[in-house]
Order: sequence, then structure tokens, then C-alpha cells
Amino acid sequence: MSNGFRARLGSISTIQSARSLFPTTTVEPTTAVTFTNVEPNLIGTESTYTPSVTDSEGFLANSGLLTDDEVSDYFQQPDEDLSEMLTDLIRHTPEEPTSAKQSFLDVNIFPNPYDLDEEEFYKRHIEISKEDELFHDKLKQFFILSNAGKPIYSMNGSDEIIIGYMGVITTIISTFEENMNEEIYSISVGDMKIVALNKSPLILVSISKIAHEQPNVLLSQLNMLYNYLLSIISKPTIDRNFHNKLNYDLRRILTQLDFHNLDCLCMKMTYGLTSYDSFNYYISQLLNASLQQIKISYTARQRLNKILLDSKRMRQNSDDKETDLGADLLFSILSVNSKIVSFMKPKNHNLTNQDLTLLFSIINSSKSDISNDETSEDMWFPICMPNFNPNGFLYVFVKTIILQTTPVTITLLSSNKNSFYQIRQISNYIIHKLTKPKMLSKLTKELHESNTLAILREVPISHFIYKNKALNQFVMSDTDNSVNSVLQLSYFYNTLYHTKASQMKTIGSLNIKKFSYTRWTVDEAVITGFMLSDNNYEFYCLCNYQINSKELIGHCIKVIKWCEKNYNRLFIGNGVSFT
Amino acid sequence: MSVIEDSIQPPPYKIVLLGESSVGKTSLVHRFTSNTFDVHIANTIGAAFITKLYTSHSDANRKVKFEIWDTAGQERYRSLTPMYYRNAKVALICIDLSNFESTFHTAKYWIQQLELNNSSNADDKPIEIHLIGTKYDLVQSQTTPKISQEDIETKVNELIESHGNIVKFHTTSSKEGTGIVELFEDIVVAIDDDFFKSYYDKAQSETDVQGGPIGSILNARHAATSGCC
Ligand SMILES: Nc1nc2c(ncn2[C@@H]2O[C@H](COP(=O)(O)OP(=O)(O)OP(=O)(O)O)[C@@H](O)[C@H]2O)c(=O)[nH]1
Ligand SMILES: [Mg+2]
Repeated sequence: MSNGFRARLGSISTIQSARSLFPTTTVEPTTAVTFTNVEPNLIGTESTYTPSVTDSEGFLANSGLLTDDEVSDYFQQPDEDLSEMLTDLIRHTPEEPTSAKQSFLDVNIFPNPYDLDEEEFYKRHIEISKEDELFHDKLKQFFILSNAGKPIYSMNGSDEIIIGYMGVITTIISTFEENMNEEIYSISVGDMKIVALNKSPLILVSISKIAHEQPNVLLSQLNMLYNYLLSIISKPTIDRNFHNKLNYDLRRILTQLDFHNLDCLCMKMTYGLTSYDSFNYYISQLLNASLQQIKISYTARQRLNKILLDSKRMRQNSDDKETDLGADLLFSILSVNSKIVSFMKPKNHNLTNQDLTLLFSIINSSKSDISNDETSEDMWFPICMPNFNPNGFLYVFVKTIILQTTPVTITLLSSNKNSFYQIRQISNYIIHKLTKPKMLSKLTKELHESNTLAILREVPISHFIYKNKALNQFVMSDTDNSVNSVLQLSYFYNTLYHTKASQMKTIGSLNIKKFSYTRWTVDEAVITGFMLSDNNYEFYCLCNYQINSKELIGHCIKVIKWCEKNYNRLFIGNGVSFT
Repeated sequence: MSVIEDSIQPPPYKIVLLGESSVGKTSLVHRFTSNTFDVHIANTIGAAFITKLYTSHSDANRKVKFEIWDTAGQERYRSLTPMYYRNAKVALICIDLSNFESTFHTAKYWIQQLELNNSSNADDKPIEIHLIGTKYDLVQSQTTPKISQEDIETKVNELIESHGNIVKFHTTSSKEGTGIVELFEDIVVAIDDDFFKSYYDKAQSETDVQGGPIGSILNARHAATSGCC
């Protein structure tokens, strides 16, 4: 973990995509703004979310911020005017961002009592450490234990250290014992929030010193950890093991990989760190288990869906016997870097986004991509999808193929543990279809382009998220995964998300529009966060240029329109179903 | 042996790896298939199915497509394992030489399971067992080992004598890459000539009839109706 940090420190830039709009001649990494003395100025008539440092004085005091009326006026402009205005705006060149080394520490996301530098701070307060020495310095703790008090997992520190927390934990346990129906326990002590979840025979506890982590967030994190355990062991097995053996040690059936996975979950839920998809995961959870999408043309998606459907109907004749190869197949998924490109499901069943995210985490944790002409490798393992059926297992076939340079993962879920060879034939059929020359060239071209969202070249918006509310799916611009960027971005979006939105006056319309606006000011430089939503979408963006709020809204609307226009390319929707 | 036609795929030959978690099964397979070693390799979940074409170094006519089941050693996956050794020709039961006692105990458990399986499928040829002592590099340099080389040999020999299906004991180091090619070479060399002969005879006759190579005669029949979504 620390290695990754060091390796990435070199390229610090919060928000990189804007660079294409304003190319610089320097070789040094260009960074957006210098952050010093940041004060979040929360704007909006009813802003109530208060990160640790704020009072209400900044509200509406800044010039250049907009009022309700202004925003609604804006929306009443006819489209032609809008586009004319937008053209004007784009010609206007914002000041080039200043180039300076910036650090998440300057944003005051976390208190820094010992005045450490980034790397020291990361090591002391953030990074997981199983040594007891730094235990009390960590900003976040997770514990899993049995309700007999036997430790199962601790994010930091050794088994012994949990003894130090026994006071708190015993209180929690006895509270649960007094009232077995009680599921949740939550208290705040000073700057510390403690939340416990009773999933008898297991108890999960989270302790956070991070100001922007609210108890409801901690609770959903505990549920994620619990779901991980369910997914690998299932509810009946947990109950069976503890039945009549209150002192059962669950660790007997956990592997090093499971502990590693729990560590990874803790880090990505809390910070959006440390692997390439952790920030995506963080945002997905922030947006209420929304599923991240990948851009691909509608026709390509239709063709992929058809391949999945056709493969489900495969039959094989051998020795005059006809076998229905897909009889046990329930779900088929084609994905690129954990983003689903194509999805097939039974008509009356589905996998929740939470289950899908869990599935991808597990696949990623143990994927090995050795494959060449001579060798190939498939995975086959049981998994319990807690929201689909907490009492039973599905069997997952996973194979990753490299289409030119893009890894495409085929994931097939079967209801029958003995169906490997049938499912493998289905996978072979899918691979055969994907690698047909025409399909291959179309697909590789599209997947190659899918990372760059063209719209970002046209607007001075640095980073955005667009979520389709009905589908609970989102698209997000590309992120640079350095520790610095991720910590800042996750903090900015978290703050923006929790800033209470103002409702706009809409006359006679049922489609209620809301917005909120947040600023982090640094000398003359400003980072602006803006949220706009209506019944259909939520849009969040960050902008690190000197920009007037009206202009910003214009750009946002442009991006929103682009997302709407590209609906079919951006969203997978419900995939395709078989009956 | 008849001349091997290029159009006919080499015969599949199924191998299963068994043994306690972390004895080094996956490391052994990776050393064999891609000649790599990763200290931070993850535990296997469920199982991995690996295929690899292999030609004997001593006889180019002995070509097989190994189908290797690399199983997870963790107890909670045990109920799935019978599927992996069904139809397997060879089982590699791994013992970690640097953690002998416990991994040897688990090895005996797998030998029993395989015997139970053999007796229930009386018509198939029983699975041949190779015992693999892994991580030889770790014990080679030890001055005060927990258990001496001689004691290990005695225990292993006792086991081999009391179980007819155990063919041989091999020591390997995936880290240093020793003993592994030899192990798979051994396996290929020991395959009956009849196995190849009957495979190619059958394949040849099928090719004659159908005018195409065997292996992937998949018949994707698509229902006329695609009333979905
Ligand atoms: N020194 C040394 N270490 C080895 C050797 N083979 C494996 N290891 C280490 O032993 C650990 C476990 O290896 P794996 O190959 O994952 O073991 P496994 O049997 O596949 O474990 P499961 O998948 O859990 O059943 C890893 O840390 C390897 O690096 C070896 O030959 N020498
Ligand atoms: Mg393994």
C-alpha cells in the first residue's frame, strides 16, 4: 500500500481531464489550484451540512453566487438561446490554473495534529496496520466479533488490542443482549462516532474520527462487511457453525485472502483507496449503490446482448442425446474493468447493484490472467448473493480474455455446482462470437474510446458524475487514481452530496429541480462543486477554474443534455432477459 | 503409435491438485504453465481450471492437453471437490515440507476420499496418486528442521506402501522452479500407449465421417422466437 502511495505521489493532480482543454507547455504535472486555508462556503438557501470547520457566515455572502430565481430563470431559456449563449461562453477563456503541488492535507479533510507531511500522515493515520503501535492514531476502525466476544476481524492492530476496546464492546454487546431485537447501536463520544450492528451470532462495530462520515454511512459500511461474509459463507453455514458452539472460531473457515478482502473493503468504503477501482466503488456507494456504466454504441450492446441470449439457448448433441447446455445458467455478464457492458438475466429475477459490486470485488481479488495460445485459465467458485438468496449458493464461472489490449471478463452464474463443463462450453461460444473479425474490430475500437467522454473536451468542467435515477446507474469522467486525488475527490463529492439542496421555483411543473453549490476558496483560486437534479437525474461536477456561476450552469446543462442524448450508449438499463 | 495429424487436437488428460490451503498448489501450476512465481499469490477461491498443451521432451509424439483442476485447500470448499476429481487420471496431493505434520494429515484425508471415489466407480481406471512435497527450498537450507528429512521419508514411504494407488513421491520448489517439469514429464511418459492409440483411432474415424476436427462440435440452435426484454 505504501509503495503505491509513493509511486503515485509524483503525479499529483486532482482533476486531470481538464488538461486537454488547456494544454500547458510545462513538463511538470500541471495541477489545478493551491489549497491553503480552505473554507467550504456552503451555498443554497437551506444549507445545513456542516463539515467540521464551517460556520454559517459564508452563506450567500460571496458575490457571483446565484439565487433561486437566477437558476430557474436560466432553465426557462429556450434551447436555441441556450446554445447561442453556450457558444459565447466557450469562447471565453478562463484563467489557466496555477501550477503547484497540492495535497489532501491542505484541504483540511482530516485534522493534522502532528503537522505531518502527506506520506507520514498516510502511514500514521490512514494506512491499515496490524501493529499495535499506531492503532490509536488511526482515523477508522472496524471490528467483527462473535456475540460471545470472540474477535474475528480487526481492520487495525492485533487481537490483543481489541481487549483495549473491550469496555466499549462489552457495553454494546450487553445492550444487544438486553434487547435482542435491537439491531443498531450508535453513539458519539467527542469527535468519535461509534456504530454497531447486531447480526447475531456476529457483531460488527465501526469507529470513525472522520468528520464527514455520518452514522448512517458507517451503518451501510457495516452491512457491506456483513454481506461479504455472507457471500463467502452464507447465512445457514454461519448459523450452523455457531449453533450449540457459542465459542466457535469463524476464522477457521476464512483464508488470508478473505482478511485481505476485508481490509480492501474497509479502505475503499472509507477512503476510496487503494486499487484502481476503489474510487469508483466509493462513488457507487455514495450514490446509493448506483452502478457505474461504460460507454458503448447501442448496436454493439444489442449485439452483445444477443450473443448472451443465444448462448443461453445452446444445445449439444452427443451420442444421440441432446443436452441443454444453458439449463442451469441464470445470469451472464460481460464486463470491462468491473463495468458491465452486457447483461442477461431471467425474466423474473435480478441481481441488485450491491450484489453485483460484491461479486466484482471477489472476482478482482483473485483474478489471474494467464492466457495465451497454449494455456487458458477459468475460475469456478461458489458465491452467495445475499440480496438474491442469503440461504444458498450460486456457482460462478469467470474467464477474462484480452481483446487486443482490453480485458473483457465473462462471468456466468449457474444454479448447479456440477454444471462447470456445460457453462464452459457456453463461455467458449461467447468467446468464439466475440473474436469473430468484424465483432472484434468494432468492439475493440469502441472499448478503446469508451474511457474518454468527448463532452469533457468542450466544457471547462474538470470532473462530473451523471446518475440516472430510475435505473440507479451512473457515468463518471475518468479519474486519476493517486492517493491525493482520490482523497480530495471523495471528500468534495461527499460534501457536495450531503449539502442540502435548494428547490427551484417551478411553476406548474411536477418535475422538481434542485441544486446545491459548494465552494472551496483558496486565495484567488476556487474549486466549485455544483449539483443539479430533477426527477430523472442527479448531476454533480467539480470545476477548478475561475468561473462565474451562470457560466458554470450553462456548461453543466450542456453535459446533462449530452448525457440525455447519449442515453442508449451510456446506460445498460435492465440488460436482456430470457423467459 | 500412428502419425499424429495436425488437425486433430491432442487428447485431454485430466489432473487434479489437492492439499491443505497454502501448501503451494497454485504456485506449482503457475510455475508449470507460465514459468512464474509470485510470493503474494492469492488463495484460490473454489477452483481454477487450467488447460495447457504439453509435448513430452523425450518423445514428440506424446502430446496432451492437460486439463488441470487447481482446487482451493480451505475446508469450506470441500463439498465441491468430488466434481473436480471425477474422471481425473492423476491426482497431485501436495504436502508442504516446511509445515509437514498438518499438511501430511490433510494429504491422508484426500487419499481416503479418492479411494472411496474409486471404489464407487468400479468400471473406471482408478486415479493415480502422486505425492508432492512442496517448498523444498525452505527446508533444504534449514539447519534445525522441525522434522528431519529421514522422518519425512519414512512417513511418506509407509503411506506409499499402504496405498496401492500412490505412484511416486516428488519434491518440488515452485520458487526455484525445481522438480516441476520433471513431474509433468513423468506423468506424460507414464501414459499407456493404448490411451493415445484409442484416442486417435476414434478421432480419425470421426474426422472421416464428419469431415472436421473433433472437439468443438457445438450446435448452437437458436429458438426462432427471440421474444425477450
Ligand atoms: N519458499 C517457497 N514458497 C512457496 C513455494 N510454493 C508456494 N509458496 C508460497 O506459499 C504460499 C501459498 O501458495 P499457494 O500456491 O497460494 O498455495 P495453495 O495451495 O494454492 O493455497 P490455496 O489456494 O489456499 O489452497 C504463497 O505465499 C507462496 O508464495 C515454494 O516452492 N517455495
Ligand atoms: Mg491455490
